[in-house]
Amino acid sequence: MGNSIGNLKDAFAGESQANRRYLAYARKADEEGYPQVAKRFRVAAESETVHAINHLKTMGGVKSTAENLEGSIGGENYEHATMYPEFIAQAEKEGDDDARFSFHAANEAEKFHEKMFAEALGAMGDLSESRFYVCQVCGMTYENDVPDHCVVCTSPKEKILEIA
Amino acid sequence: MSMVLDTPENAGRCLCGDCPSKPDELKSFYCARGASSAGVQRRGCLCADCPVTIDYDLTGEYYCIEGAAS
Repeated sequence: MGNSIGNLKDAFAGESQANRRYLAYARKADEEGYPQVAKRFRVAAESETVHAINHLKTMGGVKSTAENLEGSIGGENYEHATMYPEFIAQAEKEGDDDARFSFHAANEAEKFHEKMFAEALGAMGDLSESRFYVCQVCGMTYENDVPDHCVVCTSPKEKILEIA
Repeated sequence: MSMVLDTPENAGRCLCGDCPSKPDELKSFYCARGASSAGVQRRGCLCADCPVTIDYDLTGEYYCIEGAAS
């Protein structure tokens, strides 16, 4: 058992992962025709989100919006410039196509995220109102215009949903 | 190496995402990226009508099984 700041970091990671895991399980339960099970996974996921945010705030991980954007730009840049290229290379070396395309899809979206955050940091309150869309299959992100098929995973337009 | 360039422009015109044979996997755009390893069942193929294969004068089908166009 470490100190409380270390424990908060570990708990934040664990709760964050649980949130995404439960949302994935909820989708699966819906696909398999168990809507009430899916609901319970979504309930737990929402609760884990509250826990994760509480832990993050407690350890000082939420700063001003400008600082949050700066940190997010750095994180996205690291992911698409360093982390994912290394992961993709490793997956290619191992011949693991599924991992390779999972990393590739994320990597393409991270480039967009960095650009989106950088524009936000540059304009802040003067940002024009844009419409944003996310492919529900691969996570690719679009601003204002949506192609007929996702440019990463080729999913049809109907799978690319607007984020309010 | 496929003769079809794996660019966002080409992927955005690819019809694999609409295909009844496409397995549930992230990989797609098989004429450029190579065959699926997910066990494709032949339920029809849209490649003959795909603007990408037409651009490249490809005449094959089921690249998800046969592998990338070469």
